[in-house]
Amino acid sequence: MTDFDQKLTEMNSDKIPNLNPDEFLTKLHGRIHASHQNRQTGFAGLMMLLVVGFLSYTQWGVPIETELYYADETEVIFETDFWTIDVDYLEIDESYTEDLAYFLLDEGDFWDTIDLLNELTNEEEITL
Amino acid sequence: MQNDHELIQDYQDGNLSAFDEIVRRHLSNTIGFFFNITRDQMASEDLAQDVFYKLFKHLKNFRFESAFTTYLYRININTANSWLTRNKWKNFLHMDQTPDRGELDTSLENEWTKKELWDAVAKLPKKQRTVVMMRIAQELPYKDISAVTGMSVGSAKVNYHHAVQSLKDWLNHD
Repeated sequence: MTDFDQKLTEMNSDKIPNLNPDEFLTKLHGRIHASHQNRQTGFAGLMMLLVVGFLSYTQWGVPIETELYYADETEVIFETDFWTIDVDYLEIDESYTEDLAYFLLDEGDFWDTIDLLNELTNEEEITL
Repeated sequence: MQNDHELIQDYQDGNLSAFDEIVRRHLSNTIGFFFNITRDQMASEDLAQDVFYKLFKHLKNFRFESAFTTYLYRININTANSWLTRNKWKNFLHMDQTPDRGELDTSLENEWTKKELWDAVAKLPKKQRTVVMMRIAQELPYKDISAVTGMSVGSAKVNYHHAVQSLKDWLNHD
């Protein structure tokens, strides 16, 4: 062994002072416990993220449906309360006109009845 | 008195106090190893904590194919290697802060301090560094170094020789 080797070995032959194994073990167990808790917290956090992610994807319980950005029927687009009122009004108007037509027939005004029915048909076509 | 393998078997069977016994048995040697490298009791205890924490996690997978000390030395060497690499970068980033020689090494009257020695060791290639650490800090014979590192005895000697040459050059010329 050369002098340099000897010096290297001698330099590192110090003894470590004040070593307390119990204290060391307490710290080690604390670290193991903390690590275990961190792992549990991390796992719970991950699960929470997955659940929130899944619920967000499914819109919090709403079933996944393909949204249609177009309507199959034009009525769906224009279906409003006003339209409904208008339709109701047309039906009422129709029954009223039919009653009127029966009355006119009873009265014997055949041509007036024909005119009224023509008028009703034309009005429907204009409205639609 | 149970040997290391029996204690590990106990630990693998669920007896946690067997792990404590393993720690008590090898604590002094492990901290001594790190103390020789770090020259700091707190740092050496922290590194020893790292080692035994890794041991706690992985000892359940120990396969009894080698001596426990060989397994422990490997963990020690890996931990020390990481510390030296980390420290090398730390030193590099704090180049303007020159250490107080008196505080670092008061017991020996060498031309170079322990800090300078281990800073130089950190610069060695990994294989040489590993052999030097085991020779200097652990005082292991080449046969044991060969068992821990997996290299042949001849290779360990050659690596040590090259490492010492490099250290001699660096430390005597710096």
